[in-house]
Amino acid sequence: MVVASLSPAVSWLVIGVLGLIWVGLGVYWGRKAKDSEGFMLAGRNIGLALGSATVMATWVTSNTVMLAPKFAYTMGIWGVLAYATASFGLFLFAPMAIRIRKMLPEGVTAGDFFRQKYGPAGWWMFITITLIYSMAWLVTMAIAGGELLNALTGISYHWGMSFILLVCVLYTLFGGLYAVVGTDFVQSLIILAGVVLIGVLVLGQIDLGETHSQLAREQPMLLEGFMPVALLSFFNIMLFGFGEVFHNNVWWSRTFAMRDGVAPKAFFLSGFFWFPIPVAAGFIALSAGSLGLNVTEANQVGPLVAEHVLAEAGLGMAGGLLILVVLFCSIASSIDSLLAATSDLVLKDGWKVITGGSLPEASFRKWAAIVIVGLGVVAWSLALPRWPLEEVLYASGPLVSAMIWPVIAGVYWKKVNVKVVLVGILLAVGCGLYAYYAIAWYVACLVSAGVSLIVMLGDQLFNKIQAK
Amino acid sequence: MFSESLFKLIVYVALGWTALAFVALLGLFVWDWLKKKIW
Repeated sequence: MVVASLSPAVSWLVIGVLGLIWVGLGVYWGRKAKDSEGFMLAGRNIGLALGSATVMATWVTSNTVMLAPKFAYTMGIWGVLAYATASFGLFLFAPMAIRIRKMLPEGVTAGDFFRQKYGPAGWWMFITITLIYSMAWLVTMAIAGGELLNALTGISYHWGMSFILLVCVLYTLFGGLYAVVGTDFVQSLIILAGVVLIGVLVLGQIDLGETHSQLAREQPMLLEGFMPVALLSFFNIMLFGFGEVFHNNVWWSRTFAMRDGVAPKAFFLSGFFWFPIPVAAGFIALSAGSLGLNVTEANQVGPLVAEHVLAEAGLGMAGGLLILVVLFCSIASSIDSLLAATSDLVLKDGWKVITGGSLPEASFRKWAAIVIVGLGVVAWSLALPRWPLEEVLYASGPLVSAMIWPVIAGVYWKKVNVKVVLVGILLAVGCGLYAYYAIAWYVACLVSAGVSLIVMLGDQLFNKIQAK
Repeated sequence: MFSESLFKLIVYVALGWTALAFVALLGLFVWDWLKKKIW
């Protein structure tokens, strides 16, 4: 467990000021949202800088700064490199964004695509998978926020978790996507500068050569060039990233929200900006052994080592503040995006299913407020008992991986057999979940994406043979 | 096995790359601002 180096009073002051800044900026930028399109899609006018930043910041979650060090600690160098492959989904989404904008020039959510390509049944499959995944992601972010604040500052879990959620709900509520994108930009800069600063300060205190020698002596496995588990994780995480980015409305709504021609560049740049972060944030965990630290919770090894090293350097409070601010920004930048994108799905797609029509413009903001607050309350209720929902998040890997090929086919292929695609999704989810529980997490996405691919390619082959 | 020099190279490249991302993002913002294309 990380030993809190900041007093709760100082920490409340810091996160209180940060919270006020985010809410203030949300209100300020939110004034630009004059109608539903402004609120949900920031007027479809986001430029390259804010577009790249919002995609990158959303992809930097508490997992990036906590799981990446854990991967380094448990799987060595390949572990962090494996985590970095999550950026490949952003790279591959870049060319897809061109097609998506052409296919759906007036598109608002990913649901529009699934309804158009795969009909009501396909839409239901999509909405079920995406809501399970998005809520698990949202709740785990809230839980991580509460736990990190507790570990770093001594603020009680419940107060910390509630505060982070409240701040994100407030600024998303007031400013919609304008607020989310604007704050994401500021948060991106803080995250990037913070990761570099922490890394440089840590490098000033530890000797990488000594760390390497210690690892070679005590844990040579972490330096292995061929580590089967890490290599399987490499592909598994990559596929998880593909599935997540390809299907989730967080990324689709940004594609629709950027000005013409910006989305592909923004997704490519965000992948480029994000790629080194897991390595830069994760390498410090490899020093845990040479520093003689007792790591009882592997997912806190990153903050633990950073805080220990910075405290040794006489930067106890400043170091703690730096880590706190970076983690707060990482978590907020994902929670706000999930709140905005998921509420868009409920407002646009859910309303259509329930009423058969579109949400009237006059009552849009009222319903948007109800849905955003509602999502926040649901996430808060689920995070309150601190259920181990990370298990749900990891188990949703095969679910989102089952969407990779249906999305690719829907975007690129001329003809698809809807029934085969839907059966493929069900089979892929079933086999992937079986692999997750019967074998291990690091093969689940491989199995899911593999089954889906086989079913869809089999159908294409069958059609070609029939045509001949 | 990852040698010491390769290990160091990976760490330094990752930190340098992240620093470059920071500068690039700021640069993009200034560019968009000059062109009045932020929003």
